[in-house]
Amino acid sequence: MSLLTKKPSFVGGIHPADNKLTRDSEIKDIAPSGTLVIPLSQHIGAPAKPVVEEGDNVKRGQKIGEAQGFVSSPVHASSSGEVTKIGKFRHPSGNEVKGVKIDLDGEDKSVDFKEADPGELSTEEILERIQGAGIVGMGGAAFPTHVKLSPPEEKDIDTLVINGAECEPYLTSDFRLTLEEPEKIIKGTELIADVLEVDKVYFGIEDNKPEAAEEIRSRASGSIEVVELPTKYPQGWEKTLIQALTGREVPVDGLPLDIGVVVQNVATVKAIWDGVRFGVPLTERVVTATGTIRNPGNYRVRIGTRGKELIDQLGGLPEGRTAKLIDGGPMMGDTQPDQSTPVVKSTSGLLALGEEAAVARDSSPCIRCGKCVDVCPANLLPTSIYKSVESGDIEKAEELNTTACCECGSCTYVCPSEIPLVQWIVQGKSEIEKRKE
Amino acid sequence: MNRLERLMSDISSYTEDNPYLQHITEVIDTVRSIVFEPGVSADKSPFLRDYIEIKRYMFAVVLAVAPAALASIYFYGWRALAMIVVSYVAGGIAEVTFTLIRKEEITEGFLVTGILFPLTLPPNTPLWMVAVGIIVGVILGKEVFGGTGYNIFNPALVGRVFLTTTFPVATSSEWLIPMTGGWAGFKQFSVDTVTSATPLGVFANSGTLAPLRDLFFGNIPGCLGESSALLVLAGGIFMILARIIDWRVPVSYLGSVFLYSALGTYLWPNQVAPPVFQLLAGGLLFGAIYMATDPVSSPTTKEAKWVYGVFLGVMTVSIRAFSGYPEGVTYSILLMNMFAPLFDEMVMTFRYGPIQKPYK
Amino acid sequence: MRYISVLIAAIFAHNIALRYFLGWCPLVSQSKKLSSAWGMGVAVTLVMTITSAVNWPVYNYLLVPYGLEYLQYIAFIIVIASTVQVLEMVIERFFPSLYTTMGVFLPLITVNCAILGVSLFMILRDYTLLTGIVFALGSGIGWSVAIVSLASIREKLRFADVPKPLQGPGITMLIAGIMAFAFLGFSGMVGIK
Repeated sequence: MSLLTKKPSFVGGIHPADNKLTRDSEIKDIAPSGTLVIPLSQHIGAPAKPVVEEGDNVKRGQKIGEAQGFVSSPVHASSSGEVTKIGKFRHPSGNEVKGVKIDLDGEDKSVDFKEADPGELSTEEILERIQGAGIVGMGGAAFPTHVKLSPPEEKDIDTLVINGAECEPYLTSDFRLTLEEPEKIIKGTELIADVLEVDKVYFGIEDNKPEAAEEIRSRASGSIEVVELPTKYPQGWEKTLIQALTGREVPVDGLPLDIGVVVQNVATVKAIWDGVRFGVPLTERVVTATGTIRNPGNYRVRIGTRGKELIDQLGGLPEGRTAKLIDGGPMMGDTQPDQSTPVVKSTSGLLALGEEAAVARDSSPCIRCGKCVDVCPANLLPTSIYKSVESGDIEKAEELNTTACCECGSCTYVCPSEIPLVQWIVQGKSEIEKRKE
Repeated sequence: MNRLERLMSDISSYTEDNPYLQHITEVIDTVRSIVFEPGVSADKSPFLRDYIEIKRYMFAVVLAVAPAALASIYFYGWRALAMIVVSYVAGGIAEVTFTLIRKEEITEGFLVTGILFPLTLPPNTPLWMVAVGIIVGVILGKEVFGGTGYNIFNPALVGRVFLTTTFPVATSSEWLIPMTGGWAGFKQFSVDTVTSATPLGVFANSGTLAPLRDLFFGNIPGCLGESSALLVLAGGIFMILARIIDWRVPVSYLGSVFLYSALGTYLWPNQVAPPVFQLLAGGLLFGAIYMATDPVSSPTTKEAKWVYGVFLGVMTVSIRAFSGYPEGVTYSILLMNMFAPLFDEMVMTFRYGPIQKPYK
Repeated sequence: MRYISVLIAAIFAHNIALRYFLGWCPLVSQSKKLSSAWGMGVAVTLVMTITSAVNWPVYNYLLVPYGLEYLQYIAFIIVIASTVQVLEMVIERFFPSLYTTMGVFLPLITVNCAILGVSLFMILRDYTLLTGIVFALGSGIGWSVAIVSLASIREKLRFADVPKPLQGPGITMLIAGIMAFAFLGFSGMVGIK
């Protein structure tokens, strides 16, 4: 708790340098060109099944993958062209997944979008349109949104939280979106607030983005409470966000809906409005291209655009060595081995880092300074988990609630001995999984 | 410390444009890069790192204790420096031997032990005794447990208690009166031997309290590091602000001493000295700031640190008041080092135990 | 008041394990895990208290009147061994859950020097029966404190790089030795008489 200020907060957390270089860059559109690679699994749940074949011509917005079951999401073509390959491609997280490769014809033709008036739609119809638009959580987790908005009967949902925190350094896509398209965000928020029948709606944002907060606050009718939270990483993690806004604690190994809360990212909410009101499926998103990349800024990129195409349009890679190309932010992003991985629905940033990110540091012995314990937002003991995993004592690791770790990396950030704590904890998690089998 | 860094970068960019003040920019930038390396580094995620790392950590502690060490030379002459040098050399040989046998890298942890140990000794300790003490401390207090990061007890204090028990006269009953005025100790090798008891010893015998002013500025006999309460405190505040040590341990330790002795001096005025005297006399400040805060031997969890500090305070005052020894800091810290793993274990049980698991 | 000072002295200033170095066999062997340390501590405290309570009348009403004080060693050992046996049978029969946690340790401490030592100290210091029982209780608690903290330290050192020759009993004795140093701080605090 932040005792010195009245602002609500959570225990722990770190204050890395902001590095929001692209803060003042307005969102620009990047025209699709060349090829698109659209993975059929960009979400948690069953992958979509392809409904097109090689050789088919598709238009923007056309469904190319059918959802399999309830916890699944369809996938749409992001521009017009010919399907040249349906095969395995690399997803930014490192896995190989089935995907559709489209050679674009450059005309960017779309299908006709069916508009609707949300006021006249029933809840089921709204949720159908959300699923039909292929909307998943765009804050990183990529959970099918219509599932999140259909909580089980017994869970009494009374609070909706819109996550505009964007606590990762470098990333500004959510910030610019909130600044430039606040009306859509508010309309989308009100729509799902109705669907869920909640009593209270919070809009959580960090206090280093006061302009965006003001945009929402001035337009919200009073139904949405805009709360500026202290800028601290990882304020955007749903558990710390909920704790800061409502004071409720999500149980270990539990979900927000267990305590009556649903969280949605701002970009998802805007996509919901586009999908329900205008019938536009999810085919593009705002990505922050930053770091040492040329012409850093916030760009509206079509889903499936490969790293190379985006970077080339920005002027190619900078001189000197690009040591890392990261999908996401510097704290939790995934490094990419080359420029061929596509932008997916949950890609919030493309971060290029130079020489200094190639420095391999040797780790020293743990001096038990306790800094990792102090900063962990999940109240864990990273040093003890690390020691248990390293020595093979997986039982002890499980007792220490390793599965509750959100992998934010705060512990590794502060460790003076440069021990790769988060890597050890992730290994511990997989060992615990293995043991369960 | 982040604020300090931002202040420096603000000053630096301000003076950059002015042709006369450009040199200041250079100086500030050099210092900035030494102290605050840029936060991007490492080849694994996360790709941002805090600026605190082991080397800086240890150097910061040595820097914090340096004024007190210099003060000891001022009061007692160059002999104090000789003791520090002997400690570094003898202990360094022991440390390096073990590191080579283990085929590991030499860590900087020894830099801290090497300077803290002699500061716990009286100024006229024979130099060979200093060597024996540090070697025992390093080997039996740290190396046999696995080296840096594994010691249970504070190595400097292990060495100290070994000397106290084996050579009680030389290390606990012969004291010198410090020199003051002008260049004082910087002009001499050592002080003329005048045996006198420490303020705590005097209180234990006759109930007389030394003047607080002397205690604060250092005009009292005692161990090397006890001299100037002012400089010890300054070093402590520096380390807390730089986030090198956790503020909870010294605050709870000193707070507990204050409260307990306030109560004790009311109930047993002949045995328990009044609070402010307690705080400033003896090695309490030195122990609370430099010894008890040793990250390896103190508890890891926040709650356990509070308990640790409170018990430390109670033990120190009890030993000073009720046992045969006038000073209790060394024993208290070693005792609590012993219980630190147990405290941590208990806190973890409360945190993750049955109370925390009803959600399934 | 005297009972309190004897109790506190027995736990701290005159800790039977760390000041008189008695009872080190189980101290070194049972301190590997925290759970066995707790069990051992409880068992030792129980046995110490009961056997002292039995030994006192045996000495004062059986040996002294007949001038057979020199037989105290044999007499005490017989009492201790038989008491432990009976105790074990009683616990196994009436408190089976207790038996599973600490019953297995009972035979281990039959010939433990600490148990005998406590009875002998009781005679040496000429305690009354009640003082003797309090003393034995305190000694047991003090011994438990030693073994439990030793166990928590050893658990923390589980994966430390202790030199091969010192692993196991060696490092344990070193730790206990430094603990004994630390306990010296209590000297003179409370009188044992």
